[in-house]
Amino acid sequence: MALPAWVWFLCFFTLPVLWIVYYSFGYKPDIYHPIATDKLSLGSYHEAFSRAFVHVFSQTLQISIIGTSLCLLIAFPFAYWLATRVSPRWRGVLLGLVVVPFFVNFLIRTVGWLILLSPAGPVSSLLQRWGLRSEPLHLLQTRGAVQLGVVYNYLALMILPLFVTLDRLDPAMREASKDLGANRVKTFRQITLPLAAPGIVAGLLLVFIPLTGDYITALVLGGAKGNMAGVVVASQFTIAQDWALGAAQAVILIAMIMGTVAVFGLFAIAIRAIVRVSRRITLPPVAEEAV
Amino acid sequence: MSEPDEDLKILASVESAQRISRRAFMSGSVVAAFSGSILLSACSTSSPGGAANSSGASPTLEDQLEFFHWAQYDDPKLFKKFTNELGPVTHIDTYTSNENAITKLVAAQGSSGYDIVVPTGPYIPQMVANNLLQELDLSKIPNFQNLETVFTNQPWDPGNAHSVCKDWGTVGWIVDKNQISTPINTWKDFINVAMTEASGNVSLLDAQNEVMGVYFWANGIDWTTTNQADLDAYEAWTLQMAPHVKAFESYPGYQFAQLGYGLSHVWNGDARQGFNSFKDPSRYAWGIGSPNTELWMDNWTIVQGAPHPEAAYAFINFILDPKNSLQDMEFHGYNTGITGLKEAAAAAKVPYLDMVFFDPAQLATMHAQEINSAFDREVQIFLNMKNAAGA
Repeated sequence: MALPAWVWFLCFFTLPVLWIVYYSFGYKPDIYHPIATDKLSLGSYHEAFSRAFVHVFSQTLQISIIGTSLCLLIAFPFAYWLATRVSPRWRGVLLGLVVVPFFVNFLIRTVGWLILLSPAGPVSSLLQRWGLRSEPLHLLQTRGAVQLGVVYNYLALMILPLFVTLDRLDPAMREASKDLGANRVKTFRQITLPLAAPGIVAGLLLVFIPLTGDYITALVLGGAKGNMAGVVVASQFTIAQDWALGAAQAVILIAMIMGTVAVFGLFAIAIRAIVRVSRRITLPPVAEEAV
Repeated sequence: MSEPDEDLKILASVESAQRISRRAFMSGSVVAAFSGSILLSACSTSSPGGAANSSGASPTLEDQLEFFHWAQYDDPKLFKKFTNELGPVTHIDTYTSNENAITKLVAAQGSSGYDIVVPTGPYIPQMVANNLLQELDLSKIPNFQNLETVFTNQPWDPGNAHSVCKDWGTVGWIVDKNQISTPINTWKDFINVAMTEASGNVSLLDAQNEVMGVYFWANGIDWTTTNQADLDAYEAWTLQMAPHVKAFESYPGYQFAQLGYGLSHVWNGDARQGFNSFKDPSRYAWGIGSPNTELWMDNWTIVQGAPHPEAAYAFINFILDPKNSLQDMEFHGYNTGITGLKEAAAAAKVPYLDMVFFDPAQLATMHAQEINSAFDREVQIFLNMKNAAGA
């Protein structure tokens, strides 16, 4: 029974990634051959780090960290409200509305924003009519447009896991906390948040990883200013036809994603350890006997 | 698009004709999805002659024709008309750059399953050297004689041994006069305005050749240079220019007004499509590059190992027909090089012909690129410029 999953993982994940790593040590021999691997070297990595590419990487990391945080800030209150305040009948409808945009192709959803945000588009003219702006909106082809686009495109991936954990959270827990004298803030901090932690972690990973490698949003909405690493990697493969350099950039991108996840993971583990130590409750022996 | 085509010449009801071509189209796309040339050639040999074949077509014509083509580059109605008149059902896969197309053809080693590919002139010699293109039998393209001799026998393909002119064009700019008051007459002016008045609101073509051209033309350097000092200077310029660029956009024409650009670097055919779409065309100005600028020519070629060569010849002959050529020119806005096209277009009152046809004095300033040893470096300089533009 475990064989299919294992084969799948090997064929469609491990081997392609190893292939990319192998190619990243190759070079481009001439204009009609994108890759040669008869001599292996670190030349492509050297080239990748010596160019303006590094700047695009740091911009990508900023966009994805800000984007993931915004997704969490928007998704958590919504998922909490949906799980605790909305009647079960409406819950299904609202969850459906969250998922409905996913029936439309990612590219088309993103192109939709081109129309909405264009200087002559509806958002721009509404803002001007309401007197919030004196001149047309020039948000397209900026980093701001990409930031907006990624939050829109990945928000549902944050809402769904959060909703699942918050929905499974037994209301009796919160009631018990209230009965024991905790106010709302304290209940949220000490009961809801720790119990929702697995959902938060799942949501953060589900959003951060694909968002960092995103290519379509930046390509459609970013112009020259909102460039992201995914676009840069793609152009090495499709425009320059330099698969070695493209592969090296892809490996750097993967390493950056894993590194960021590892750093935040260690940070979270450290915080949890500190919290546990500082809040350690030693139950008196009497209480233990009573149980 | 869904109304019955007036050019329909098939002895069947409109409904059944559509059904025939749709089914054939579906099978064509499924086969192409597998990139299976073996499957494809098996199909073509097992059923020679199309279901919708009409009189006058050669009986040996295959029933399909596979294009590897630039996107949106011919009037879709012409493909329908070709199928209706001659039989072969067309299917198009697209590419976004010559390099991209060539790499795929090299990788397939004659088994790509494509019949027709449309490379830009300077790429042809090495494609021939890599045995990617068939030698053409011009006797199968009688309409070849319709081409003006200026556009035949090009330096990259003497005697049209492997290619036939599809269309040619040049590069220039569109300016929004409401935003930009400085007049732009030369590439030097273009650069100056891009770095000052239009800074932050300029689009450059997403094509390294043409961006490189802007610098070399403005500075009086031959743009086929392989001199490293010239390339170093170009690289330094790209980093100066990058912060002023709003977007690298291959087809800014039709969205120029919508996106509110002040200045765009643009192909002449795309600029013309822009002018066709502008509500107030007098607000915008088009300029052609000077003192020197580009002449590019895209060419019909038949791929080595093409499974449907007779259909490919038939299509090339079909598209070189003056009437079809005029219809195609109205769609893409480029000169197809057919004798008498300008007069025919003027008679048909096609707008903005000064953006399609150029006089001999202008032609003398236009030069073709060549693919040489500097090419890989030029591409990397350009991609690095794009990365630097976000800084």
